Amino acid sequence: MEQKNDFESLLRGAAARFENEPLSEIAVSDMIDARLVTSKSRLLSSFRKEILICLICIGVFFIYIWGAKYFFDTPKLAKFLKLYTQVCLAGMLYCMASMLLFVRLLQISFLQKATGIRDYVTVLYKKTRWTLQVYLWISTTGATGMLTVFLIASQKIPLYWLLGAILLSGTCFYYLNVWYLHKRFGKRMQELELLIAEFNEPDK
Amino acid sequence: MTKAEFLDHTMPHQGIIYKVVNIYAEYKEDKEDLLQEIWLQLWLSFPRFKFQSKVSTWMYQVALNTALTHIRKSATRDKHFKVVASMQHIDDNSERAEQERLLWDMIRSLKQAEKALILLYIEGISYREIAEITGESEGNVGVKLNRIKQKMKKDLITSAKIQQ
Repeated sequence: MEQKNDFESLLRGAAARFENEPLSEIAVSDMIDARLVTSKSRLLSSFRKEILICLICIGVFFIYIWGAKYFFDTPKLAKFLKLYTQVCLAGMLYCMASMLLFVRLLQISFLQKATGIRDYVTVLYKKTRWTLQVYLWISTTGATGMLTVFLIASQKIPLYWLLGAILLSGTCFYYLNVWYLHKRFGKRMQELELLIAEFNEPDK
Repeated sequence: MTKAEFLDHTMPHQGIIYKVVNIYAEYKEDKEDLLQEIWLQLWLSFPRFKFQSKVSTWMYQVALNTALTHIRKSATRDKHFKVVASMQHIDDNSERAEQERLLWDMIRSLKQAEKALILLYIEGISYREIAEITGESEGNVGVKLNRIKQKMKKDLITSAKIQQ
């Protein structure tokens, strides 16, 4: 019993050693205001980053279509412009998917935090995963769709080759997106999975 | 809701925030960052707080949920600095102080969910309230806490033996 009490007092003693000096009301108020400003600027910088990613993607699409134009040796300008418009539309679709992902993840980060930890972590994980899945499919479909339209419009490939190319590029786009999502959100998702597992550990 | 109202309710319990920060963040910059983030999240959550639970319970929930999903930077820092940082608060070298330091390091090395449970236990919060904060059942809380304490006691004895 004595050993137990000693352990308990050690535990409380350890915690007490790390007490901090309390802050004044003014200091806390200033801290909140400063943090609000910082959060706003961080949000703006993330938004700029998203826009930049979208612009880079559109840039890549443009380079792709220019390259394709020479590869397929498209003789008519009208045909090229048609393809150019389709690529622009696909680029816009991709931008929309990226922005949807960004806005949705932002909304998720504002989830009500005043709830049981287990519920909070589970809801956060489920909503984030769902958003990433939606993004994955929209961007894969958009990119594959763009390529399909382009290949059909070029009218130079036999049907079985066309189907093969679509299937192959679709798979490539899918795994490219999976890699991108894993690179960007993989660690966060793993941490959330770990937390859920810890909070759902059975009481043996 | 005004800021004055918010501060009136939260300031008497600000120790809660420090406890959470000290357990979940190891480095000075991380601690400051987490401290600010928790205050901000409390301020943003306050309009939705209906006073159906104790202010302290609500603060624990917001602080722990913020800490668990916020800190991700520490892993990249220097390990040597980590040791120095964990010891710098201990001024005396008595045996008890050494044991408390060991215990504190043990708490730090626990799993995230275990840290939350032991923190609430140290604060003398009832099992019912811990269950409300974590979202687990009261029975589960009791069983898990016993398990964590047994593990810590065992580790403490082993560490003492090694030092002797």
